[in-house]
Amino acid sequence: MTDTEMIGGPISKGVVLANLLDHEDTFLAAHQHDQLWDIFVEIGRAWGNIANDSASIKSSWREFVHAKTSEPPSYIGEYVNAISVVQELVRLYGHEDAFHKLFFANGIPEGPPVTRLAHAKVYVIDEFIRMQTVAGGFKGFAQPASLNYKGYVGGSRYNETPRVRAYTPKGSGQ
Amino acid sequence: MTEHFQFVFIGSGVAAITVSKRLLEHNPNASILMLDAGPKVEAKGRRYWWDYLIFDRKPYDFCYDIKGENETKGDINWGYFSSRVMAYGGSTVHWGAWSVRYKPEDFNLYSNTEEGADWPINYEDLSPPDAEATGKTDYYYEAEQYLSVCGDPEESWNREMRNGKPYPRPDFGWTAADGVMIEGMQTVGIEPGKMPIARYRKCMTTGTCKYCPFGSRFNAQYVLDDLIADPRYQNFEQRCHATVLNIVTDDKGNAAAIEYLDTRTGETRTITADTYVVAAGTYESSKLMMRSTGPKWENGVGNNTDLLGRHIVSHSFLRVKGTTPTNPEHWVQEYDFPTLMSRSYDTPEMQKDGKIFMFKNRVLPNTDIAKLMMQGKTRDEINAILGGPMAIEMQAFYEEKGRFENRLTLKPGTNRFGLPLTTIEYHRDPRFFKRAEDRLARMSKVFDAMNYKIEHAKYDDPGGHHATSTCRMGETEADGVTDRDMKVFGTDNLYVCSNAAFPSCTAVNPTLTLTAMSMRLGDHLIRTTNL
Ligand SMILES: Cc1cc2nc3c(=O)[nH]c(=O)nc-3n(C[C@H](O)[C@H](O)[C@H](O)COP(=O)(O)OP(=O)(O)OC[C@H]3O[C@@H](n4cnc5c(N)ncnc54)[C@H](O)[C@@H]3O)c2cc1C
Repeated sequence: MTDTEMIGGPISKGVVLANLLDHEDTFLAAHQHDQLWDIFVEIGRAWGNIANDSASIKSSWREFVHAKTSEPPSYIGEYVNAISVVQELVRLYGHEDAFHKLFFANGIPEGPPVTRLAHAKVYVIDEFIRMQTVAGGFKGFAQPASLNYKGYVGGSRYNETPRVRAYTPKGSGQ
Repeated sequence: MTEHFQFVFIGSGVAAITVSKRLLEHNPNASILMLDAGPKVEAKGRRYWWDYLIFDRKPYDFCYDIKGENETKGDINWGYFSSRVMAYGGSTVHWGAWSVRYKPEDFNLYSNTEEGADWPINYEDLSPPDAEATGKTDYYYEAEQYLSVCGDPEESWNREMRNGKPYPRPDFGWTAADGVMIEGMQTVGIEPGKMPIARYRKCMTTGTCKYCPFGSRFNAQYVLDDLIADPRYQNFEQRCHATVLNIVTDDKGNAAAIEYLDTRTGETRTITADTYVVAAGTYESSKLMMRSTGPKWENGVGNNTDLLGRHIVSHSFLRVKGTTPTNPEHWVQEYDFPTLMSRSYDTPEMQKDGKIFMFKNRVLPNTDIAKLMMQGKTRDEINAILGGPMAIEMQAFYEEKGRFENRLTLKPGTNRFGLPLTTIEYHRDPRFFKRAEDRLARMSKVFDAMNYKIEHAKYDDPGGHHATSTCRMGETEADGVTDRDMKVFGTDNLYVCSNAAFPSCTAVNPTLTLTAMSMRLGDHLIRTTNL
């Protein structure tokens, strides 16, 4: 990824400190929630690993964003930043290309995130990717896929039904 | 001001908590003070949970030893990092919860091998075959009930040891990814088994636990929370940030008081008790006693025969890793803990040259899909990686034997919880290398049977996770710091309840045995203190 020149315009290239961005607001407005959700949905579209535009994991995503914005350290500054970075990328490259570049060819240099683009990638996109994978996205790659993944919450504790692909001895006929 | 209690516990890990619970269940009015140098770590909450998943960050990370703080002398690099948690609830806050019994021959190590030490008790003292008929307590079985251990009673070693008793919970079955190793083991005559895990109760959403989707592994914090919240136990009290500096002893050598530092206020407080239980883990239990000199104890309480801190021992870690070029079924381990293990080389025949407890690496095979996505790999690239080369590793704990020259001592200075720093001097037994190579060769045969290419067959240095023996039990003061009831020789009222009191480390994890020993100590205290 580092061979590519870093994408974006003046907003994306704005220089900031590597630590979490501050913000004076204490909660996200409804439209900001929607904009963030739209970003999240693009992950599933880009990798094709979740059906129906991620609708089945929306409640998990909401819960994740709530935990990230209602308890310290707050991610509100990061979320607001990511929204404006994505808006700029879409303005510059059009919707599809913007997300393609952001996910696959962003040119962000290695090391601590010191631009607004790098913040959006590290603190928002990357965390959304991990959240999406944990919530079920892990199942959407090569088939047959595993049934469980670190952090996936898929059932009751003493359920007799295996929650993982279980070993079946050869010749057991199962 | 001096406060008085019937019992004072130094440490708030599973050992102290289990004994206290036993005492309180016998007499709810028992007055007990439990002190811990560490803080109470807030761990329950969704944000902790997400932070754990996203960053692998745990709320108690700051309660580990800091790298470089403690030192090793000798010919290995002793592993200190992440080997204990100094906090409310102690180290089971982050343990793996593998709950395996020691075997009968483990209690007679010296008699069988002329190395290490015998225990002054036998397997039958912890699990009497005639428990029902005689009314004796089966401590191992009770400990398994308490920790809610799951396992398979039909494994050959369990049939020999469990007196026909089941596990309280059904085992976690093997995963499909275990299959190839299971079959490899069977080909070379190794019996595959299921890892017994302490599953405990309902999901607590701790932010510290990696056992979803099944919720909960045992964590002593929960039991301590319950003891504190129980309205019957009015005289039970726990204090954090309370670092015990000294055990004051009287002219007869008995414990007369303890002094602790409240690390938040800087105040030193004195507590007196009828009975004192040091349950501060293998390092701190011996260090506290070393620092506690008195009229009868010039070199530290319990140290008149220079055994305190000596014989420190833990497992060396053996690993054999193999690869195969493709993974058409896209196998991953799926759980974050191992499901496959074997005790086939944890036998009397293997004891002389060191038993091993084998298990499949809990992380392999695995592909971190999210990381690949973050790196910008496309769907096709990720699919190719999932179906590409697969690595599996077999690991084993190798049973090291306690040696007099290996010892733990005080390093000048204190850590951020006010606990003294540690020096461990450890020299490998010269016979280790040949013995470990033999064990690695046996493990490698499994990979040959699997037709996997061996990437490495190697051993790591021992570390603190399962360290034992710094206050080991013996028949007499000449061969132990503590007696068969974990009472310090030469005292009437001072006990060590810890892996520190174990005369050997065996090949398996210690905590089920520690829990059984804690229950046994509880009964001993009930009997001897007229509680
Ligand atoms: C990574 C890891 C994984 C493990 N997995 C397993 C496993 O799967 N199975 C197994 O059987 N075992 C396992 N163990 C070992 C297990 O954690 C310990 O055997 C067990 O927790 C020891 O309990 P304890 O009560 O003796 O000591 P601890 O739980 O360590 O508690 C001792 C407490 O004493 C406090 N303390 C120390 N000194 C003082 C002082 N001077 N004053 C006041 N307080 C003091 C400390 O702060 C600490 O909280 C694992 C250990 C590690 C590190």
